[in-house]
Amino acid sequence: MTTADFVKLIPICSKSEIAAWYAINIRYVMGGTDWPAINEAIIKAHSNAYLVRVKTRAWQIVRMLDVFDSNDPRVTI
Amino acid sequence: MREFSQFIHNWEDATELGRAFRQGGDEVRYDLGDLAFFVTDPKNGRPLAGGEDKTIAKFADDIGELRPVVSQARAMSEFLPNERDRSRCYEMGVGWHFQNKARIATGWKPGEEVNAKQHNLFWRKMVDQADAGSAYFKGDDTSPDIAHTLADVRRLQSKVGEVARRDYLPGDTYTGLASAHDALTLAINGLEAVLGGKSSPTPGLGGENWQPSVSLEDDLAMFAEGERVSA
Repeated sequence: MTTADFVKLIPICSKSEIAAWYAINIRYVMGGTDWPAINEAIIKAHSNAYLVRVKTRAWQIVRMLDVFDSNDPRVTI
Repeated sequence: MREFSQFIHNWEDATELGRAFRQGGDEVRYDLGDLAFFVTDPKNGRPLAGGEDKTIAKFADDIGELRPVVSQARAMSEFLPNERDRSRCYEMGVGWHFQNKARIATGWKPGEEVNAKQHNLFWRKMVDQADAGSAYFKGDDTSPDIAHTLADVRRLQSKVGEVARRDYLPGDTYTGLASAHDALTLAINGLEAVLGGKSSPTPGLGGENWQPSVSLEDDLAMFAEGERVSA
């Protein structure tokens, strides 16, 4: 997904949806994501505090996925 | 686990450093535990034959700390020797004391190897605690779990479809959105599997061909922009 496409999603997505996408991108999807541009777009559409919330929630999701999805062979759910 | 052999040459060195760590409180609890692990021989504070002078009890006494405090610090350091794992706990907002409670709940004992069940239980408790709204996340919305995340990802996928239908004409190439849609399908499949109690597709919820695109260090750096949510 291009940054432009991501930006289109920002106004129509809830904070937790954006965070889920943010987390999935971080954790699995693709390199080359233009995070500064995306962060800026989120701030522009909402606020810096909103971005903080998104990142915090994304962080929680990433960590949750880490547990379910660790490459550590000891982790089996 | 910290290595002290370069600057701890005798018991006095160790107790001097131990006293400094004691005053540092929770901030240096792992340091205290690492040091205790380095200098004490016994298990559970009981003297071993020939090792009476290097007990946890004696070390605790010499640094002016309660024996259980030192004992638990030592056990926690042994349980979680990897610095990255420790950092991860703190990044999740889980403090040392809760980490220690989680360790105790696993049933692991010092001197034993941490088995997979104990390892998983410990990390489940870390996530649960982070979700429960520890100080780090206090004030944020309902914390995510697999079910909520799955619902979010489904809605997100639907919206990706909406954007594609709205902004692209039939025949247009919108590879990015299409691949995003596919990626979300894979994530949904993985989350559904986890939610259904099945084994997580590994590696990666998105299937075996997916790999994390950034290292943990990049991941941490992205979040290390002074954007912690204050309580």
